[in-house]
Amino acid sequence: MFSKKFLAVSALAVLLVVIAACGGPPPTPQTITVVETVEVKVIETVEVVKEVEGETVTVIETVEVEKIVEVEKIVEVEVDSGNPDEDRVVLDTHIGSEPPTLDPSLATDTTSSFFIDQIFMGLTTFDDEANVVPALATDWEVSEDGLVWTFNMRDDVQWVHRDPSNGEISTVRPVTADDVKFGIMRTLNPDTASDYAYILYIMAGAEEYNTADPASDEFADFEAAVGVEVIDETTISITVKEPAAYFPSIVGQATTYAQPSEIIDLYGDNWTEAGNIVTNGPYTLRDWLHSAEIYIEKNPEWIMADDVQIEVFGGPIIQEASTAMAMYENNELDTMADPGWGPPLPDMDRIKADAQMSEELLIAPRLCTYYYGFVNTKPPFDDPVVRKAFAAAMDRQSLIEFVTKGDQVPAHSFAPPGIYGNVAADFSIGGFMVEASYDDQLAQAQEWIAEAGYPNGEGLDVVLMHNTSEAHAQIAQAVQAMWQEAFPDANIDIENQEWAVYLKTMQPDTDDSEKPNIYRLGWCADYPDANNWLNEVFNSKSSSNYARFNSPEYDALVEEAASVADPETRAELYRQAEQILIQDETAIAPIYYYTYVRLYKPWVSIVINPVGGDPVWQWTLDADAKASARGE
Amino acid sequence: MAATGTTSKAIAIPQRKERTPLGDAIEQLLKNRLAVASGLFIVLLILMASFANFFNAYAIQGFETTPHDPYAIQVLRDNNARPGSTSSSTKLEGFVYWLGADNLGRDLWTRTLYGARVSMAVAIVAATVSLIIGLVYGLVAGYFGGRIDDAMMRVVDFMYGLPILIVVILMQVFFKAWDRQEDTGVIFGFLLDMNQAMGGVLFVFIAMGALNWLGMARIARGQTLSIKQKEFVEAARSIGVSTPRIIFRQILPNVLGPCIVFETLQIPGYILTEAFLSFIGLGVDAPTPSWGIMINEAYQGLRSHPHALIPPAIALTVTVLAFNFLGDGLRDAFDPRLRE
Repeated sequence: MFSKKFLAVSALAVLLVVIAACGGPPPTPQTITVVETVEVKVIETVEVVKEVEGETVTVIETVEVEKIVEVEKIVEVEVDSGNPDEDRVVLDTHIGSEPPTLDPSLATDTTSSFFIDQIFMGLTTFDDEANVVPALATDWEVSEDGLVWTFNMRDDVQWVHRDPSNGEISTVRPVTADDVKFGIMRTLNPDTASDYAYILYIMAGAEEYNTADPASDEFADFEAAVGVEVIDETTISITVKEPAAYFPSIVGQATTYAQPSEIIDLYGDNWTEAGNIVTNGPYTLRDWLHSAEIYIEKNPEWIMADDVQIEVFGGPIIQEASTAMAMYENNELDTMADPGWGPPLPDMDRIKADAQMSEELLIAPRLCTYYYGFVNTKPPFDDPVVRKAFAAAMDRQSLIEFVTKGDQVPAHSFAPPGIYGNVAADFSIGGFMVEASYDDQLAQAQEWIAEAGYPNGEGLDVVLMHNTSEAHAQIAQAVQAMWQEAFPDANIDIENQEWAVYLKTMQPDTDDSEKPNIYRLGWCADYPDANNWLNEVFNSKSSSNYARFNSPEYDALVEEAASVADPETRAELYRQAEQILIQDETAIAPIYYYTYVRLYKPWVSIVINPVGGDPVWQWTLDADAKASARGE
Repeated sequence: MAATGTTSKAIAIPQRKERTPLGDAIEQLLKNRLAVASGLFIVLLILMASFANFFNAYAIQGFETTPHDPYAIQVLRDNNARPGSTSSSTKLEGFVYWLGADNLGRDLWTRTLYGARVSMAVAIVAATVSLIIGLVYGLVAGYFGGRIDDAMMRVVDFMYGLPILIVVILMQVFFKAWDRQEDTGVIFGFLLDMNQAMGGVLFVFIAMGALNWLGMARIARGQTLSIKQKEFVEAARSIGVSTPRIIFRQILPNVLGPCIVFETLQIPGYILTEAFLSFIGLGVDAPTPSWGIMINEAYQGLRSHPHALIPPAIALTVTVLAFNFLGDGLRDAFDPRLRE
């Protein structure tokens, strides 16, 4: 009874989504009935009274006159099905959850970032080998002391606006250096409350401005002291606090994107709504029906618009991966990938066994690490030996092989391979988490837990928390069972919270009593440098330091690494930092390095950047193959 | 003469069995085969759930599981094993997954059986809590009548306006957050320990019982209003029997029947509510199985592994139906108009 009800509800949801998704799939003319007012000539008979002058005789004559009257008439007319995408190249995808924002200064999650990267562009970007390449900037140079970066910008990038009433995309004005400065300053402005403002702290005066009190008298001075200077319309120079070799990748971050000041002033928080927003990327926002659907449309005025083949990209917001999977298999969606769900875990075996779908499956390395963090200040995990024992008692290989099934790589360091300064090849760091034989690892874990004073886990009462998601729940249960196997007398509970609540619970300044002992998180590269990992996450001052890991020695290492230019010295400093974070202190237990696990229909050919994500403008779609697969 | 007369009387009286309302009802109930079968099924389910330690697949097939709970035994390698397949683990060599395994390689028979514990516990605890509160409340309101009755029943009317499911969800969210506080005091600490031992659903039971007695209170009050007019109550009062004694010894036995019937018909609602809360992640804590959680886990993989959905879905459906049939049977049995 219960299950039926739910099936019915989800079937209904699928139906609704399908109805919402199809903008009228077969482009056949439709006949509709309308009531029309038409003018008709009628002949009426009227009596005219004629008076003949001079005579007293009145003659009544009957004459016929022509008259035009208006009549309502029911007619059938053929109309266009109203599908604006007819004859256009459309990639039908789905969106996993409503993006919280499309504001480059505020985005922190992958769905928001995905769309922001399609509709805006930064000074720099990453190519498919994670190298920094020019985008809005044409070239850049750095002063001899490594402190002043000067970027020369293109002058042919336009802000465009799409008029929702007629769908026309028109240029507004060129993108200038002032827009870039405005974007950076807006991110740093404490009133904007950007969670990722700290990425820009490398800029001179940025941290002081971002943490200043807007009500204070010196606020304007702090603002003026930020080292961003507009030289002319297409040249901007940025002063940094210390030489940072990775700086060109910072100005590829969404937090530094050029933003249109006049639109933000005009619309305030609503400037990112469709119809209000002006954009400068390969696409522009067409529709954003909140919690329902998002579509972006090719920007015909973009600098490389001739190379952009896919003209419309988007789809409905679907909360359930299994629903999206059913639609994908029914050829209603072209992708099971960002910004939506990847293939659901329970279907992985079937996908791999299926001749067609195994061809469509894409598995590629991704610069992300999935880890369980320990709240280092909360007993019993204030003891590094306990942390080590828990980190060791995880059979990562089995977890990947039988639960996540995406050919992920067992992790034993925080920064994954592909990040500058990673130590993934050095098994002297965290090697105890990825021994060849899990039995050895297990024995070691049991030895440690006894050494810490909890033989067989006796006396341990810990809570493992994850954000609500079926995939995280599966991993958590599998890991919990492994821990229970290793420490039979321990009491390990699993809890979950919705993402927004979860993030609030995990904030470093939340009281420890409200926190779990162990939390789950993934970290993905914003730019491929260990600074983005070791410094920006686990520096004791970082707002992402959910583990509340606090080691002055570690802080000194990562801060020094941020300030030196020599690549080899930096790599060595990051190696020492990982040594402390993972091997000595085991502040977190890395689990695996992510892979992209996605499904793309054979008529879609894609380009993926390990860092930059998905440059949809470089993708192509064979519209004929898609239409024939759909039976159109 | 006298002897003959006595004999004829003696024949007439013992021929008729002594009849009580309860005896009649039981007799009537036993004639209803569906209700009897449902009752037997429920008794069997309660027994198997209570003794799940002996009836789980590991125990029956002779595998040692201590110190772990059988429902938490996972062999990742056997994820999504088909019904009837054999375990690949060396520790569980020869173990047969009768109903298959879920996506973490846990035996579905065992998990469904332990899931029955949660459902049965919800049924019994929530029903008992609501029966006791509702009965006492309704008896008192009905017996005293007047202003007391008015005031008490307005409270019930007010509480009827609360969206019960939402209140239960809020309470559950609150208690789960509270659970993490370290300093909780003796009584609450004890409750929290109990809650943990029950897989985190104690508060679901309490919340549901505490909010579902309203209908019961109305029924008990209505019955009391009619019974308190009866002569035997008058008689008791006139010879000076104390008020509590009248309520609980004279009136209670006479209102109990309809109330039990009403409560039996409420039980499927409790079971479904628990399943629903677990389905949306607010019920029992993993890895404790509940039918709602199992259905949630299985339906995600419905297209690839439909076998995992069948055991919990059937168990839930049959149990809910059984309680409904039993409740219907009881209602008919206690209804004098339906008697031949």
